[in-house]
Amino acid sequence: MARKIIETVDLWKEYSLGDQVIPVLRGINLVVEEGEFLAIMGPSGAGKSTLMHILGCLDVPTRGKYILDGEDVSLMNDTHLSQVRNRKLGFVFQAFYLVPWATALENVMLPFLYADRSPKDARERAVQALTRMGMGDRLKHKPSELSGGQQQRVAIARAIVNDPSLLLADEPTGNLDSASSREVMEIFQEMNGEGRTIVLITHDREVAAYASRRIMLKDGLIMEEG
Amino acid sequence: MTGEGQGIEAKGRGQGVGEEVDGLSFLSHPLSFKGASRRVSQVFKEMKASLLGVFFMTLGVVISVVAITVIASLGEGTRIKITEILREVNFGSNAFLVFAGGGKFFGPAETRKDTLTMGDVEAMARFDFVHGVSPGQFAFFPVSYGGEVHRTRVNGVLPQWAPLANWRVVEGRFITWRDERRRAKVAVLGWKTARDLFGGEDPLGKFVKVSGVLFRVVGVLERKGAVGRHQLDTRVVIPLSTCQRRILNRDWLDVVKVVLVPGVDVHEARAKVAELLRKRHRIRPPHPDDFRIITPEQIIAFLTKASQTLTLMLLLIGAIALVVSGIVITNIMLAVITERQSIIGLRRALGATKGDIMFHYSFFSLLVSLVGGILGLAMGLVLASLISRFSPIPARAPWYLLVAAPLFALFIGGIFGIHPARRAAALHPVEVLK
Repeated sequence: MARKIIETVDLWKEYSLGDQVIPVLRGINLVVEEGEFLAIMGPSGAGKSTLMHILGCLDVPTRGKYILDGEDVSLMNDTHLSQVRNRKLGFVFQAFYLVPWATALENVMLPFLYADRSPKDARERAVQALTRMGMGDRLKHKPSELSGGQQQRVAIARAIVNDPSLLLADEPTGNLDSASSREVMEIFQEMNGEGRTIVLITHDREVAAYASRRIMLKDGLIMEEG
Repeated sequence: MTGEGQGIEAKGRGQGVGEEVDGLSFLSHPLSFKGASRRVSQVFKEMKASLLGVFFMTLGVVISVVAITVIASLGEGTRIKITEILREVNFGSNAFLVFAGGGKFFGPAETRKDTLTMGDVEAMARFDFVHGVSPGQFAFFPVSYGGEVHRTRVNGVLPQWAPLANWRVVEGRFITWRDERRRAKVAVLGWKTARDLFGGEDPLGKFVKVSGVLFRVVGVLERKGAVGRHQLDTRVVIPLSTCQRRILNRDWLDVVKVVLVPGVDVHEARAKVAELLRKRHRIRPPHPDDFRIITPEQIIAFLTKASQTLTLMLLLIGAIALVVSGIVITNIMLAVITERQSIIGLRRALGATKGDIMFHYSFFSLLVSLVGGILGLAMGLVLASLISRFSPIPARAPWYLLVAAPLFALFIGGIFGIHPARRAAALHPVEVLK
């Protein structure tokens, strides 16, 4: 049996509004094995983002357990979660979130800034990641000098430069035209083919079709798998 | 894909926004030098990206530190100048003045004044700790030559006045014992008085009229300058006996300068002289002294008191300006952080801890204030020296200013940078990454 990258046990997330308690996630049990490419779908308000934040260690569950790559992260404090994000996770966002005054290369090197021990070949690894994304000739370009698709490829290079156990993508094609979207999704598929574990969040069926497995989230529960 | 938790209080373990914003957690894992320098270079790059904000933050600090530097330098320069000139006229730490008439320092006499006599002077001179005594009378009179009339201080003194005041003549000679014995009508002019009355003309041998009496000018004193606003070079010096008999028509003295043997304790000597005078003037408790003994420190304190009060007030205003510039720092930093919040969220997602963010923005404001402090100090020193070059106000930066100005600026940057940095650190990545 393959290694479990994600394992959640009865995961709840509740928000309180005055004296009212609003459950957003209502007992999520999810296992993602190494090498899977999972798409989480669902209408807006279904809890996709909340689940993504918890899976990405940006937020903690109210109840339940989350084991990421063999480490129980559900009880970790903020500093430890930061370190886990740095070591084990790569993020791709809809809005790219590149630092505007930094070059493509500097953007890709950002994660090393917060590593306990930055690798000696940090620069080399960043160049490799960018080259891998077909951006090897644009190392010194600022984000404003790149197209949307190119910016997202820089962001993907940044997400994989630390060689994370899990790559999380939140609507990665939301700000892209269809041609760039296809390009980006093909990159994800390729990386999955090389054994990388990916969790993709989208409401778009076409985008979800690139994944090897899809789940539907509705009212804070996993409704269907397929 | 909106954040479901938006605007709703999050209910989760360890979710409190204030959690761990101690800002010191970045100290718990030591940074390598390289790591630190890369983080510092991140701050520089971010500063370059908000040059206008950095400019205004720095400007506030620079202006206040320039003001503080100039004010402190001019105040200190004035104090040092006064001390130097007093030392120049041999009124340093080894001398004091005995004035006729008791009362408050430099106030009007509150007792009779006519008790200080040559007998007292001779008695004081007999102390073995006294190096020399110089009795004198002074009064203001119109002094005229040709059409020129100037109201000037007239000093009646003995020949030892010149050596005891360390005051040479640059032309002619000083008053002699022969003049004193004969009550000679001879005068030695202060440098400025000679200029005012005679212009370019040689005053030696000419006659000036003092209070209707003609005096032959026998010498001109060297130039000494001014103590504060008190011009030392306007005076007419005549023999004491001439002053007593022909000008003031009284015997009692206005002042006696007592110069001590080097190494003698001034306060002890002063007490002994006071005791002697009380005895000679037959004063018993509870009656007050009918004389005043004034030390150079008191004169310096008196002369600098007004300017020191003013200096202190101006310094206070400068300090308030610096605090205001601190508030400017807070506000601009808050604006910068609001503008950058998604990047802060991104850094957090990439693994930056709250401490890392705290470090990043604290360093930002500390750097701005330090640069402003050093720049302000440098510009202030230049400005102060320019002012002293083109005006009579001397400038001297007190040594503590060189340390205190940048440190105070740094302190302001630190204090007023904490709030924005804490707010940046407390930003929840989920709230700012949409």
